[in-house]
Amino acid sequence: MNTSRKNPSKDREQKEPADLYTLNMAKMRLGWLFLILGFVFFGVVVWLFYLQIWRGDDMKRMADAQSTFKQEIFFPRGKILDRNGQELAVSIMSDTLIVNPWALQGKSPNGKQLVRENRTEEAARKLAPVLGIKQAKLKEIFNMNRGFYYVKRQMEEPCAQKVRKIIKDNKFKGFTYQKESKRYYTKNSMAAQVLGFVGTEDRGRAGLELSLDSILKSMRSENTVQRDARSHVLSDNGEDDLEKIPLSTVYLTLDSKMQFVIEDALDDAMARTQAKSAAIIIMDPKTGAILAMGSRPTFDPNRYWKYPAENWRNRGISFIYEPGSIFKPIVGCMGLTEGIITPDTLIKDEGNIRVADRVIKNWNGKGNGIIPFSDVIKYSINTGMVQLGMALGARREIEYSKNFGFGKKTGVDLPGEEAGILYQAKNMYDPDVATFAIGQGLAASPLQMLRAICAIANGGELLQPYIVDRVISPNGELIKKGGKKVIRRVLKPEVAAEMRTMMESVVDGGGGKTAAIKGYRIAGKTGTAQKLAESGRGYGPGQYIASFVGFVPADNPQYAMLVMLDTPKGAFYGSQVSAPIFRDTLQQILVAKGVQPGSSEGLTSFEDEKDKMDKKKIPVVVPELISTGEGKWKIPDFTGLDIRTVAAILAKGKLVLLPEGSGNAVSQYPKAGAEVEQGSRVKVSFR
Amino acid sequence: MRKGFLIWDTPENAIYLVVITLLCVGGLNVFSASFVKTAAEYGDKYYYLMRYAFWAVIGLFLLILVSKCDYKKILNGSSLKLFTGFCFLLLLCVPFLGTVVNGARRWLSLGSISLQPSELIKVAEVMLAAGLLGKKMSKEREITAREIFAFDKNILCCMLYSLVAAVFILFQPDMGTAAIVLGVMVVMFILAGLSKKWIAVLGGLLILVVPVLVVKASYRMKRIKVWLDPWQDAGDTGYQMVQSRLAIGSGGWTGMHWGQGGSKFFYLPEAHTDFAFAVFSQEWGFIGCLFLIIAFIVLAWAFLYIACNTRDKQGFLLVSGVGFLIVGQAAANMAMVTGLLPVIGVPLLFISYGGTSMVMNMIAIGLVLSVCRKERWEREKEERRKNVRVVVSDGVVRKRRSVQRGGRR
Repeated sequence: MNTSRKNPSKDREQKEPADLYTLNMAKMRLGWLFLILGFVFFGVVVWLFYLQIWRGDDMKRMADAQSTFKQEIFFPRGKILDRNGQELAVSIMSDTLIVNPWALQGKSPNGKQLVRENRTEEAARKLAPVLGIKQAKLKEIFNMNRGFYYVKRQMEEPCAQKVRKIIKDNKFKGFTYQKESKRYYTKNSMAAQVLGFVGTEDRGRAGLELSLDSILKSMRSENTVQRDARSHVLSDNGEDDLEKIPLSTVYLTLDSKMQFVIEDALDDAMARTQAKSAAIIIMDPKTGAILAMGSRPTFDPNRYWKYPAENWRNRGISFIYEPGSIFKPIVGCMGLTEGIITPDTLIKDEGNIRVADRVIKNWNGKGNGIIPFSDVIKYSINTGMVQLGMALGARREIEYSKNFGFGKKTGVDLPGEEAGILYQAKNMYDPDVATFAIGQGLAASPLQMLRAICAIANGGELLQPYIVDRVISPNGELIKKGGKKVIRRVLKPEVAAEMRTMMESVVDGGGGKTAAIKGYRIAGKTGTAQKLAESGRGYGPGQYIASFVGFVPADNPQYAMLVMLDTPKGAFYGSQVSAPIFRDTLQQILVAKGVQPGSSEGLTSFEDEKDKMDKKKIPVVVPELISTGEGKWKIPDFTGLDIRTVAAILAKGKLVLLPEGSGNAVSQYPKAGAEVEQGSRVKVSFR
Repeated sequence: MRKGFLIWDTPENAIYLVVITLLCVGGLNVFSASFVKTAAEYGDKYYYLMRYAFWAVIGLFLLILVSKCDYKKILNGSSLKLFTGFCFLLLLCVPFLGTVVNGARRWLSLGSISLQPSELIKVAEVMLAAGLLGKKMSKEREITAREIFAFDKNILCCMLYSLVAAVFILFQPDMGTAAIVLGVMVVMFILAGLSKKWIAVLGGLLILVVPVLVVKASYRMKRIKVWLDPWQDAGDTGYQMVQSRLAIGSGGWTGMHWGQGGSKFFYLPEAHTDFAFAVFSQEWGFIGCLFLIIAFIVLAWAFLYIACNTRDKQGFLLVSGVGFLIVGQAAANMAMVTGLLPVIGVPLLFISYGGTSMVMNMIAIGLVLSVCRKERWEREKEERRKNVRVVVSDGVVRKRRSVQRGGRR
């Protein structure tokens, strides 16, 4: 035993030394060590099970709680744009100021006075100038015995900022803000009746705002958003929801340029004629798209409450009246279709005609002798029309009128449309049958009338008028598409073509020659109707409605337009009042849209790039082209004139305007006084 | 070894497979855990993924290279001294040349890559201990007080190496790594035959000193309290623990799927390094964690298998040291991340991003494979020699047959 340590023997029989450490012993130790590690792994697995499975839901909830939060999102009301994407109505979110008067007064929610200090006076004093509300009135609001009041709705952003600062700095209690969508009509009163307006709580109350309210309406929604530990929002959760929001952009068929032209024309007409009301509609006769629609009196939808409700009415669809002579082409078509007449059928005109107990006269009471039917339309001869009407009879008159869409709403996507009034055939006596042929005894809206004329213009198809061109969802998807919709065929193309020729002759030397524009083939019809008395019985004395309806070019119509003036002062005939408005308006539109003149004078078209919004008023004295004979013209000084006036002056000599820039004329080439040939170009710079 | 290892032919195959699997999983996890941070800071989502891939390729190359070398030559030649000395030197450079990150000076920057010498030391000391204490083991005697106080050159060298390194690391400051460096050396001593008396003394010291250290310093006390219940101070000192537990817990059975976890969005600090396991748990769930733990257990089993089949003492020490280092750190990291242990900065090999750690550990695995290869080679040589011996006594015919058999093998 004591020798073993000093003489380590290789002999197996020797006893092992006390401090022997073999490799196997080391392996044992290693085994123990790894066993300990195994225990640690086991512990980890057990603990993982506890954390992930046993408490997993708790942990997940807690993790979600710290990384997600509810975010309120506001979607302002959808935009309304014209056909070219020009903004007509847009919305942004704005703050509405709400007060809890009790809190401001230092009262508890049930009205008990908690704090002595009453700060209503101070708050009213400080907020009054910023809010634009009288201090006394504001103090009254703040002292009300209630817990909720809208102090100011939809504050403009600079105002809202000031208000927020004042309330924060003074630590006023009881004020809260609410996000609301605020509507802005970028072109003020342009197309006001078409667009309508939005009342409180973003409710559409008139016009398209009303009829498209469900598509446009602003909304508020809550969204669960993920954020990182630095409070940055992680976008990957919200995107899907955003794509589903129903807020869409509405594109109208309206053309801002045309709309501007007619608004301008209406303003001029109202100022000149002192009419009670007026309406102009331009339609694409081939599709039924409404390109412009204006009504007077008008209003600014940004401040609609400052105008009487009468001004909100869209007279183009809601004003019904006896159309008068502009109805004659419709009756003429009936005769042509039925084969009662042809354009060449000779008719005897004695200046007046008696039907039962009624005598119907021509406008001037004069007879023209024996004339072809085409001249009946051309010169708007009542006696001829009456004869045709009597030949047609009540049943056919009413049936055809219904076919042409009278007595029934057109179904245009605008609210407040009137259906008009139409006799029942069985209730018509002979005088009614006779006067029906000259556009009396029925009531129609301007849109119904224009649509019927469009059927003649496009070769016989009665179309559904529409104003919403398309609705696009936020992700670019087409939700709704307006388009040509044929209701029925009302005329044979040959009949329509014959009537177009007759209507062209009206402007080309007939009763509507005041509507003529040189170089263009225009078809039209004047109309002067006595206004029905307010009482509803008989006609109001001296009250007329002057209309003109027409389309251009006569052979291949692109635009159809109706001008209606209600009770103009002074001159009241359609040819005197409405036709010149028609002409001036149409001329600008043809220039602006670059429609080629029909005559082969070798004229070229041009595009008017002028921004109509900053147009200046035309000077009182408008210079004219002075003819120097043999198709030569002396050019006047255009300085100070706007592009429209210059174009009108040059059109007289069939000269071509090459405009540069926009605004008022500053320079020109050739210079004033220079002599140029017909059809030559004149360069004018506008600024 | 002939019987095969678990479902594999050899433990080497098992190790290769586990390493490749862990590299793939680790790469995915490092990318998932880091892309938010790097996209925000460097504008490059793939910043850490690219670096991880770079180090993985270098590591794999070195692993294969080292596995083809003879570990005996490495452990007994001058290369051991050179390598361990070099690592030590780098560590000594840190206080002067190191870069400061998060208030600690731990890294040496060499251009765009940075080295963490404390990670080098871990492997270096295992090699040193295997080399020096392995010689000692061949005497088949325990290491007793007499030998320690007799200033045995080998023992002294190992002790000093780890002590000095630990002190340097402690002052970086990095107490966790310092403790690991000391702990690994202690384990090497225990495996090399430290007498039971000394083991008891060390164990007693640990039990006595740790509570004293904890009680003496109030911040440590607080840390322990927070460790036991991190929710009491979830906004401050317990934040990392709470975030880690939330991340793990929200994983559930199958996790939120790769890349979908929320904790990496700056909620969990060190998400791609020390706490990468939390991100892994969140995205791969309990099932994924089990898979990962099984992978490490297979690795541990392979190390144990190789160690137990090794007759060479240096080889044994080397394999068991490396095995303990790798598996022990993995266990410690998982325990720390789940909250079973207080937070000490231990990376989880392959899952946490750390270039130095990964390359060094792969070199270490290469050494293990080298031991395995060498042992098999030795055994085959012996068997052949045995056969030759038989042939000498029996005759010509069997000799040929056995040679043929040997040749086939």
